[in-house]
Amino acid sequence: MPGSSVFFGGLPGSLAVPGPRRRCGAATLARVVFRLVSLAPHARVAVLLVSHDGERWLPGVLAGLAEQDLSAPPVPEDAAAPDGAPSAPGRRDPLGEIVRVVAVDTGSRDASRDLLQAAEVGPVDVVVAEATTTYPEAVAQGVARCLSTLEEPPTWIWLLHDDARPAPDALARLLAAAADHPEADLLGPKLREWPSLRRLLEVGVTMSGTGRRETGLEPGEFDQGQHDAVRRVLAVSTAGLLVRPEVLTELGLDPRLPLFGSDLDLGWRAASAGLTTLVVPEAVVFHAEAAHRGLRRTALTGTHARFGERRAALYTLLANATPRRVPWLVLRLVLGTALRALGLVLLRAPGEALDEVAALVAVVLRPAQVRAGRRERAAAGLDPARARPLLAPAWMPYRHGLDAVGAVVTAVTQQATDVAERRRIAAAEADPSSLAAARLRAERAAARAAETDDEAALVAADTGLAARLLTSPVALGLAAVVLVLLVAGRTALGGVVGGALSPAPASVGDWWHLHTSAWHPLGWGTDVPAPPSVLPLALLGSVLGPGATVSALLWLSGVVALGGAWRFLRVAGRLASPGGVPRGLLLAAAAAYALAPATSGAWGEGRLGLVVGAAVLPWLAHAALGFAEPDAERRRRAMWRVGLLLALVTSFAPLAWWLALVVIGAVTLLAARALADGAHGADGADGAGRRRSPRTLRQLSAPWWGALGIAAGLLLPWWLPLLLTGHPAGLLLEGGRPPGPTVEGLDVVLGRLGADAAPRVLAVVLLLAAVAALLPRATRVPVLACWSVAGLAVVVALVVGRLEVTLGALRTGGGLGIAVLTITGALLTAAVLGVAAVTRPAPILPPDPSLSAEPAGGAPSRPASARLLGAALGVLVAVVPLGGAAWFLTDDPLLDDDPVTVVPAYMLQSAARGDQYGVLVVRGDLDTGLDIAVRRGTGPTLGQDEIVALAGTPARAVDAVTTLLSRPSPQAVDAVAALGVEFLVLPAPADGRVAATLDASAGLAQASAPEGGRAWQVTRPVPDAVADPGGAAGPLRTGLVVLQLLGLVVVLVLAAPSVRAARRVPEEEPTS
Amino acid sequence: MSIPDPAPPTRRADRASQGARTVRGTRVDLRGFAAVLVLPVLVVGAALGVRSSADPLPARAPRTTPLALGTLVCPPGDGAVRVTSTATVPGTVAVADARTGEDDATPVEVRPGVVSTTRTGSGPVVVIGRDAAAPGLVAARVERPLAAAECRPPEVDVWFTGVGAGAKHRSTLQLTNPDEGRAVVDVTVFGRTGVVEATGLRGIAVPGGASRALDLATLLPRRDDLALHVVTSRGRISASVSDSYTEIGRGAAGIDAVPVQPAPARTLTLLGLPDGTGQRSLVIGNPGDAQTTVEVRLVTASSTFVPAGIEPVDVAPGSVVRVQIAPLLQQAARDAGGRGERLLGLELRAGAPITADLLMFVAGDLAHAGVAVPLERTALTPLPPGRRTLVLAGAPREGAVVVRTWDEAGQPLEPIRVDVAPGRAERVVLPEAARLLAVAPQGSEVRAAVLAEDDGATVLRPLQPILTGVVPDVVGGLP
Repeated sequence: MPGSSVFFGGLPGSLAVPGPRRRCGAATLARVVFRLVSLAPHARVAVLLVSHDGERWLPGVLAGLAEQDLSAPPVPEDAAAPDGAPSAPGRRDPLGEIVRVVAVDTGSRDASRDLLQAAEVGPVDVVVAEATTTYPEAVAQGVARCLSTLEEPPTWIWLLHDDARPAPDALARLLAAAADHPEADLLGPKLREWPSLRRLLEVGVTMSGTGRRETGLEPGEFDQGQHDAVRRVLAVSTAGLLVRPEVLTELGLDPRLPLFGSDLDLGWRAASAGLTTLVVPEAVVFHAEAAHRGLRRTALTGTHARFGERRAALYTLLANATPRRVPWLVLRLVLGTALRALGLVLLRAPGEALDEVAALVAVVLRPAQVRAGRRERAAAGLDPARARPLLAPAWMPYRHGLDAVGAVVTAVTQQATDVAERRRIAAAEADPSSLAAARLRAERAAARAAETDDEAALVAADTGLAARLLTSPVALGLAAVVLVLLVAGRTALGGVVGGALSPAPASVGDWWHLHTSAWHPLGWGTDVPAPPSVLPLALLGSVLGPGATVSALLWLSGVVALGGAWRFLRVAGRLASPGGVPRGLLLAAAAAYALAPATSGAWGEGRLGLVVGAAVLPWLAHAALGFAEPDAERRRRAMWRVGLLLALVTSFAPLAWWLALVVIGAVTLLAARALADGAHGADGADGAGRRRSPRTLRQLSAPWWGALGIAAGLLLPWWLPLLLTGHPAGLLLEGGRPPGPTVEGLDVVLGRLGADAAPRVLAVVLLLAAVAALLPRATRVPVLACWSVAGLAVVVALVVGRLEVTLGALRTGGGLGIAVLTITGALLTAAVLGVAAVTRPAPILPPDPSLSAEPAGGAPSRPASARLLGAALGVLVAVVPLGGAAWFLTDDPLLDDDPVTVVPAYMLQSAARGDQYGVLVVRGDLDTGLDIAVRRGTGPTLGQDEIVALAGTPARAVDAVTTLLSRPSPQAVDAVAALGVEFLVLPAPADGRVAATLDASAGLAQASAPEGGRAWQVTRPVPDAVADPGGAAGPLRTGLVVLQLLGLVVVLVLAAPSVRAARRVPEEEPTS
Repeated sequence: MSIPDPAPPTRRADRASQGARTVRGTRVDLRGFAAVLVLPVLVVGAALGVRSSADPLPARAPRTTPLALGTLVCPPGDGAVRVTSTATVPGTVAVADARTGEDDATPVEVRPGVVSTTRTGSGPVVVIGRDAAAPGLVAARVERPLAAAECRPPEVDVWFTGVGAGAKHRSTLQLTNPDEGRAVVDVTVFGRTGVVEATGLRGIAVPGGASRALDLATLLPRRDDLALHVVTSRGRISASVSDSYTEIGRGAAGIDAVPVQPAPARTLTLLGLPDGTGQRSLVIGNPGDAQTTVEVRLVTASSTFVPAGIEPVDVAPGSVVRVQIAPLLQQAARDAGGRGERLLGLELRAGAPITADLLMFVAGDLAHAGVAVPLERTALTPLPPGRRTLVLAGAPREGAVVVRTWDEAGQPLEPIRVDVAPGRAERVVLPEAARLLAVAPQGSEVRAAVLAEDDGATVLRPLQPILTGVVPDVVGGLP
């Protein structure tokens, strides 16, 4: 077509009259004429193939090109073309002809060029270009060659990549669509994955506000014709793009986009120019996306395809957006990039995160490029507003964000779920002759046989949540348990305080301050570090607020424990026996565990640490099952997860780490013995997954000890200062307001913490079930393992309980709460495994002739005695959660009881002015001794109790108060005032002799006190502030906290599951 | 993932399939079960030894320290204040009107063996010894006709029994606050029919350096005998009760101080029974909330016994009972006299803690024989002139008492050693020249009282001076 004036403008240096067609009558006329011409049945198509190192795919591409059948494709009877002349059946006139194939080879170093030259697809005109030639340049060269060598310019140019193989009817269908839609200027095929062939890649693309290439497809979506409608889209890929030559000569590809993203930009500019881009899904091109996937590295892609893509996307977005949107876009891109980079780092993809940031920096730091691009677009008279309707909707990025979060959550909760399956497979692979392998093969064959068609399976899987709930008694039971937990735990809603639970601080900043400070003005001032639970509380509290955090933890922990117990028991059951655990039993046991913190009394007493620790414990056990993974990499991943969860449990219940130490020590000893005995192949009680492959104890146990080390490392800012300041007792004490619960004798195996626990009979039932679980021989080893864990926990409790720690005027043993809950969990697990052994269906048996010859005939029936035992045990196990739930629903917890206030409100008001206005509380009487404590501010809040308890009272304070109470003098009063004491309180019943001494002291004025108590105000000046002694502790603390937070991020990243399963292209050639 | 096909059958594979036969049927294997049952038994056994509990620290008795500040408060009266001390070195104490305080004090030198006499007007007097002069202070106010008021340190909780609030028997409660701060006192009044409603005696505020005299006859006029429980709820108060009794047929009233009883007790000893035929009223208070029966015994030199003709006295809860025992005592005195013995005192035994007082008229003068408290260490009392008889009784075991006296000039007189034993009482007539008495029990605690007779009578109880202050055992506690 001579004269480019039919097209308006173009990229660099166009002399054409700018403006859209409405504004130019002549151009419109010319266009109509042009369209009439193009309607001619014999379209002239020039194929333009750009190749670079594509020998792997080129033969396929060329074959596909050679197969092109340009006769009119058959039109389905039910899908008549909306307009235009449908081709009559039988008449298969060719729609056009390929007049020229131009191949531009950009400096391939492989056999690409030879392949092109030898191609049998008619006259191939090979243009040899430099290796540094960009894609737009290559296309420009190819178009130039086309136009210069053909006498009559082609009506269409068909762009192909060297890794894009068209289906035989691809071009014909594109041409047919072009004929049906004369307004179309760019037509793109449906792209499917090469070589999988059925997965959809693109059916037209658009761009979201964050520069994401939106295909509107699910990842890996199969092509079932669900997107087969010709639509107007923003852009189509250049692989298989049928485009009018004028578009390429006038609009062209932007040379600033050397490889990636030029298609989107072209489509966007075409849309801005008022041109029409259609996707023709009936035309199919198979695309390997070699550069995108990093399969092909060129000078242009570099090693970071993502960088190139992202840079191109950002440039496209900024160059084509309406001017008003640009500042907002820049802001959004900066924030979005930061967020995405963070997410990628968290998913262990630091390289890609770097690409994201680098791309943004590359675009933003060179605004001249974007400005030049925008100038050119403005000069060409493009109106970005026209492209607006074709862009992705504004909510699209948020949906992707939600999807990503959902994927991570799913992956986190599902990890290690299939450990049993993977172990079986690994065992079968290692020893194909084994019974396990035979059984697995039999199962697979049965599964294949039972498999109905995909559609039916899909429909079954798609059944709604409500339908599944209503048809499954287990699901109903699960919902009921959750309901019970939430209803019974309603006390925790709203501001909750009472029992061992101190009030939450006023703001989450208090928690952060507590965690980051080396010195606390609590009590008499102390350098005891904050308990480790403050960090998780602060992290959660930063989102929810401190009060809601405490409520949420207490209210929802039961549900979290339920989920964890369910998952752990399911996997443990499968590990113990391939049949797994019946779901009803699983439900009963998980519910029993979820209720354990309540029935033990910990919940009602407000022992937040134990409640949270118990909720995380099954997740920790679940993660520890990952040590049984046959794959070393998965075991390492399990190590990070176990370390992280162990640190979390330990921060709420410090004994957990010691328990883990003892259990791991014992397992290591067992493993060492087993290895020394050469006991290969036998699955040990440790569940550590010993394989026949020779392994040293070191390799085997490294992840276990690694997890311990990770937990210890994460808790460094807690235990190191505890040791440095001489308070090792804090490593073993129960969290919360001291004293911890009293645990004596059998209560430790009955899961009772103190007097406010559920009736013993429930726990006795569980104990009996756990003993009876040793009866079935099949699961005896894992049941014994559970008992061993319980035994180790008892031994730990025996030792730690005997340790005597003096906290103020109390002598207390170590905190055994988590050991007791661990024992409950171990006994529950034992009971479940035992019951499962006699109730689960008999395993599928391999079709082994030696077995089928057996007289029993392999009938999966069990002896009546075993079934009876199973039923009895099952009932026993079910009694525990039912009784526990009934008790929990009717119990009156100590939580939410108003704490007894010994300090009058007016003193608290005064104390709130500053830490130097302390209130000295003197309890006891002369004959049995007095104890003193100072309250600062509004009194200890959650997280401070442990500090105050461990800090104790310095001798100077005891001396000063003793002097005041024995030889009162103005000097004695001054000394007490100097400690930061404004009020003295003797709570009821006040010892009159002590009061008389204080009454006789000058410098003390009587103050009003509650009935039976006495109080005095110190009339001497208190210091201006309670001074921080400073010293080296502050910087050390800061360093430790920074180290901890960094370590936490690293561990989180390393413990995170692999969400982004990398799509690997198998080394197979397409077989189309 | 594909699983390779099985290798050709080997002996190993055969073994495996044989193993399967046993694994297949899950049999209840009792023998194996018994073997592994050892583990649960061990676990439960070990659990029995677990113990983790929080216990309060054991009781920690206070330490003692030399008294740093000795404060004695003498009730108002006309008599001179007599101050002495067990200190072995001379010291100076401050004697002042309690209402003006230490600033206007008269320094008084206290030397060993000497009773220093000071006149500071008729108001309440405070005696303050500091540091070295603080321990060992004893003071009393003695008047004529014979009446003696003990000067006591401020006390939190004291009892007075045999108090009157009528026209004939009339008592005044004196509350003195020696400190700067306000003090608050609650008085519970027990009468014949139970606790007496007395709103004016609840929450009595005594400002710093003030003394309040509460005339009971004005506040709660009634004719029965009363017992008072005086509790200082705030501040320090020294309480005393001065009592006047007009005996029928006599114009002048006898005056004396009602002795303080520190706390109700099940066994009480009242010492100092003068001869004569005057009124002898035993007043018993039962502050408890259950009725109790009180057995009255007589104490003589050789024995303690229940005399014929006296029934045990029932005392209703929260009430006070008066028993006229003059005839009984006269009869008993005659009986004892027949054996060559004297009645030296009374011993009351009750099922519940009680309070008591013996109200007597001797030669027209009122005298109260209060409860004698057990003495563990040297007790002192200044002696008024006249006939003085020391009675020692109530020793829980055999022991001795060294009785020392000093004359006006502070010269020691011949010490007397008296053996004491349970159930027995001793009577020592003190030398005429003695002005100061010290009773030093050895080997056993003992109760003591001095009956002074000379134009009337009064009973003085040797007082154990406060030597030490207590230092509470203080530990850091939990808020």
